[in-house]
Amino acid sequence: MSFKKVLTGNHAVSYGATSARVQVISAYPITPQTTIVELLSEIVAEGKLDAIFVNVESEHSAMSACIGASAAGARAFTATSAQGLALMHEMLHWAAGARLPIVMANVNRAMAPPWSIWTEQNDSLSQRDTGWMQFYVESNQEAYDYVIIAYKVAEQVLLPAMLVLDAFVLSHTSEPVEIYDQEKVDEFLPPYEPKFAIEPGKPISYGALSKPDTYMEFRYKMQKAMEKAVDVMEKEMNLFNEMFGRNYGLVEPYMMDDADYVIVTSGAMTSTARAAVHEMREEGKKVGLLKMKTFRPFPFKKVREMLKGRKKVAVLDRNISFGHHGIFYEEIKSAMYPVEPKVPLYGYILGLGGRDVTVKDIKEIYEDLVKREEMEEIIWKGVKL
Amino acid sequence: MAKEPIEFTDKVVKVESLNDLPEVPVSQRFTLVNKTGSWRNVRPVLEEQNAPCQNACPLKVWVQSFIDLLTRGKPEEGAIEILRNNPFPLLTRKLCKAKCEIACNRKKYDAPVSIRELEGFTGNIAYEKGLFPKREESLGKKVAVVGNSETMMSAAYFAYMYGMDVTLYASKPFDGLGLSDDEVKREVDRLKKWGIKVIEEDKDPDTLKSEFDAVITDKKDVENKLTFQTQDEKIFAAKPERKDISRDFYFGKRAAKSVWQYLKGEEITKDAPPPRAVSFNNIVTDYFEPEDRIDTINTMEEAIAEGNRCFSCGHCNSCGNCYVFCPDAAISWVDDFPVVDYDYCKGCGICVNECPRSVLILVPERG
Repeated sequence: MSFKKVLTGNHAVSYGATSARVQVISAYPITPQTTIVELLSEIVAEGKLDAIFVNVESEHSAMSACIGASAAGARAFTATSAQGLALMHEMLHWAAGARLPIVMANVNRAMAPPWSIWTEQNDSLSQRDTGWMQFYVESNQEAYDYVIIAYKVAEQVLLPAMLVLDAFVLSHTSEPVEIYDQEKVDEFLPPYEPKFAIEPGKPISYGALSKPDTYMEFRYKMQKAMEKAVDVMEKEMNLFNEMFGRNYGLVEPYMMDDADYVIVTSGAMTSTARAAVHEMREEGKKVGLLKMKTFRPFPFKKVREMLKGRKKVAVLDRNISFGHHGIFYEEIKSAMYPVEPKVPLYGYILGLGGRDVTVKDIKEIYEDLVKREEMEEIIWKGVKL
Repeated sequence: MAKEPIEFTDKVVKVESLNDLPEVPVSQRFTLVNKTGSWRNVRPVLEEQNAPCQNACPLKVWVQSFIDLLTRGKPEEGAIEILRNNPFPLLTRKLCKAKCEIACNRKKYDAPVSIRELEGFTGNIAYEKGLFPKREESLGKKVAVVGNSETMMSAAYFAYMYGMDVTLYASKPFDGLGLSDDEVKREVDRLKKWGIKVIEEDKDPDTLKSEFDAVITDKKDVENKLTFQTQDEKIFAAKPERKDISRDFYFGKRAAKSVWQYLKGEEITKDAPPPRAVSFNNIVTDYFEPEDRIDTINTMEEAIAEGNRCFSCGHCNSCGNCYVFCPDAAISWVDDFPVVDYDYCKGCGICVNECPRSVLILVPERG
C-alpha cells in the first residue's frame, strides 16, 4: 500500500532512490544536498535498501564511483550541489559519453564567490552541454517521482539524468509526499539490464579511444538518444499517470487556454507564480503560466505549441549566462525562432542567490510585461540599483 | 532492455555506418598498445629499508623479515633468518637488553613489539628441530677459536657459518654468564651437532698458529678495535664487555668476519654504519589499529598475534595496498609480491603514499 509521509525535498529524493532500488550510492556531503545521502546512508545501514554506500573524498570521485558501478551494471545514484557539481564536471561528460544511466539529484545552490548556500540555477545550467538529461522539479512529490521516472527513461535511452530541486525552498521544507507501493514501483521500474557491462574474465575497454573515423558517429548517437528521450518521456509519463495517478508532461501549463500573456517559470518559484496567476485571473487578467520541467532534452515542440499566438511572454530566470541573458529565456527564444507570427518574448532575471520571489514580484512582472513595448536585452527584477 | 551479447574478436572492424557501432564506446581490443609509462618522471621502486629495531640491534637481526616469515606461516624459515645473525636466540631471550624494543616505531603508536620474546620463541623452533643457517662456501681453511667467553662461542659459530673448519678450545664454555649446566650443554651440543669440533681444554693461542690458518681468542689484546686484528696477522682477538650480551656476541661475529676476509685474501674492512632506518613519520598509521602488547609468548597463536602488531618498517610483507590502490593496474602480483610494470606506470606515486611501511620509494627518472 502506498502511504503519505511528511518529508523535506531532500528526504523525498532519498525515498525516491530507495523506491527505485538503487544498488550503489556514492556521494560527498555538501550543503544543501547532504541530508539526501545522509538519510540514504541510514537506510542502507539499517538494511532497508540492498545497496553499497561508497564514501569518497570528493564529488569527482563520487561521480567516478557511480561511473564504475554503472559500467558494471549497477543502478547508481549520487547527489550534490553547486561547487560539488562543478567539481564533477569532467566526470559528467564521462558518464554521458560512456552512455551510463546514472541518476543524480542536484540541489540548486548559487555558485561562489561570494559564498552562498541558497538557491540559484547556475550550477546545473552550467552543465547543460555535458549530455545529461535535466529535470527541474517544483515540489517534494515531484522530487520523489522524478527519481523513479529518471531511471526509467535513462535506462532506455542510455543517458544519465539529473533531477534538480531548489535549495531550502524544497530541499529543507516539508510537505506531504505519497510513497508508492514497492511492488508497483518495481512493476514500473524493473531491474536494470545493462546492454554492455564490465565483467571479470571478459575484459573490454570501456570508453576506449575513438579516432576521427568513428567519434562523430558516437556523438550523433548521443543526440539521437536525447531526441528519442522526448518520446520516451512522454510514453513513460503516461504510464506513470496510469499507475500512480500523477500527470506529468515535459512542460506543465496552468490557465493557459485563453491566456494572452504567459509567464514561464521553472523550479519551486512556479508555485508562487501559480498563486499569482490564480489571483490575477480572479481579477480578470488573461494570464497563464507555463512550467518548464524538462530542460534537456529541450521540449521544442511543446514550447512552440504552448507559446504560439500569445500576445507577450515573460520568461523568468533564476540564473544568468554572463554577457548573454537568462538561460531559459535564450533557449525559449531560439525554440520560437521559426514560429510565425513572432511572439514577443521578454526575459526577467530574478531571485539570484536565493533572494525571495514573491507573489507581488510576479504580479509586477505581469504589469511590466503588459506595458512594455520595446524588446530589451535583459530585464532585472528586484535588483537594488 | 534485453541483453545483446557482442562477439569480441581480434579483427579490426571497419566502420561503414552507424550500425557498425554500439551506443557505448566499448572495445574488445586492449589499451595495452598505449604505453603510458613514457609519461612518467618519477618511478616507484620496491626497496627494502632498514628498521630502527634492526639498526639498534648490535647483531643487526633482520627483525622485520623473521616476523614476516613467522606471520606468513613459515616459522622455520623465520628461525633460520634469526640464526643468520643471532647465534643463541634462547640466550638473548633470557639476557638481551633488547635495544630493538627501545627503538621500535610501534612504541610511538601504542607499545613496542615484544621482539625479544618473538625472537626467542621463533629461535626455539630451530633448537627443537635442529635447524641451522646456510653456510658460506667452504674455504678449505682451518680456524681455531680459543676461549671460554660467550664472545668466543659466537666467534666459533660465525667462523663456521662463513665456511671455515672450526675447532673450539674451551674448558668452561660460557664461563661467567651464570648459565645452568643444562643451558651450557644445550648450546655446546648445538655447536657440535652443526659440525664444530669442540675440545674442552684450554690452549695457548700462539701454539696453534702452525696447525691452523688463523686463530681467534679472548686471551689477547686487540690492536684494531673495529676489525679485531692483533699485532700478529694470524691472530684475532675479542673479549666480552658484559654490558649487553648481543654486543658481546657481535664482537665474536665481527672477529669471525675479519678472519673470513683475511683468509679470502681480501682487505679487512670495518663495518659501515647502517643505512638510515624508516622513522615513525614514514609509517602510514591509518592502516593500523591499537592492539595490546603480548609481553610473554608461549604459543604460536600469541606469536602470530604479536607478530601482526609489527609495522614491518621498510620490509614488504605483501599487504597488497600498492596493488589495490594503483589506478592504472600497473602493479601485478607475482609470487605474493608486487611487481611494477614500468611500461604502464605513470609515476603518480599513489602506491608510495599508500605503502604503510615505506618499502616503496619514488626515484626520479633520468634523462
